[in-house]
Amino acid sequence: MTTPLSVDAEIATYLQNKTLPVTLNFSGTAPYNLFASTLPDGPDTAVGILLTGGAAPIMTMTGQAASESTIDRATFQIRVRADTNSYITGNALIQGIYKALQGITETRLNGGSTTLFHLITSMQPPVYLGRGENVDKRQRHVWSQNYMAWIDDPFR
Amino acid sequence: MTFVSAGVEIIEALKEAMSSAAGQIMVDASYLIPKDTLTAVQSGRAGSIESTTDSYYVEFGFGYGGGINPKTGKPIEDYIVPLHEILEVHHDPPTQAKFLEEPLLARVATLEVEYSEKIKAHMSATYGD
Repeated sequence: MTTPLSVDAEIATYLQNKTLPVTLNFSGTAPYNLFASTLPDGPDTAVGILLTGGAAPIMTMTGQAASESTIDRATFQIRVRADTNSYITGNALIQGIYKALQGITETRLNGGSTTLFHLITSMQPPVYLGRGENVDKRQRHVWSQNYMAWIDDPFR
Repeated sequence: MTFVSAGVEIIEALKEAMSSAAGQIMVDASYLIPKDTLTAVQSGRAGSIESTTDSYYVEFGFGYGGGINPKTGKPIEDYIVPLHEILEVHHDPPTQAKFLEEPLLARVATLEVEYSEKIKAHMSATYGD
């Protein structure tokens, strides 16, 4: 049986296989520029997918046992960072990710993946956080965007 | 009681419920927001119910009032969003990033029931059981 991926790893694997303004590498041969659960200090231009909790599960009336009739609502943040001379590239990347993720419905993102995403929706358009020292100590450009994913969680 | 008058009362009940929920979310958010200088928590607002031609809404959150952080000299509107969004920065517990989003999402789970109860109570007080 295939081991289920966490939501952040599912999203990372999916984005790695999309055509975006920057080619993202999550699970290929190092060096990596796409990370799940963290955003390390390098490389300069990089993407982190960070789980941020979520909302209470939705109980559905399917006629099944309660444990089989729940939809989890997980939230995650996409953080894009670009070096000090690459504002346009970074902005294009976060917009490309927005286009790739927003509005996905009833999809297993990665072929035979065990997680069914009923819906992925953004909580707001991408936000430019700036490049101040309170955003990144090396004053690189940073964007943030938050999503909610309605999923059938294979871990439960 | 006419259908129209009942509708008006339901809207009034929902406005009360929206205002109450916004205020309570802000109480929870004010508990979680970092308080290094108190500039952020003092920038919180829960507005009154506003309307458009076909809807009602309430605006609430942080970043209002033009406060200046005494340590950095920066206006609150310049750093309130990064304060909320940068997850890796350490904040003394119980304060944290996502200080508004977390209580908001926690509240979503119960809003439907809260609104329903508010309507029942309002209609009962207005028209009797």
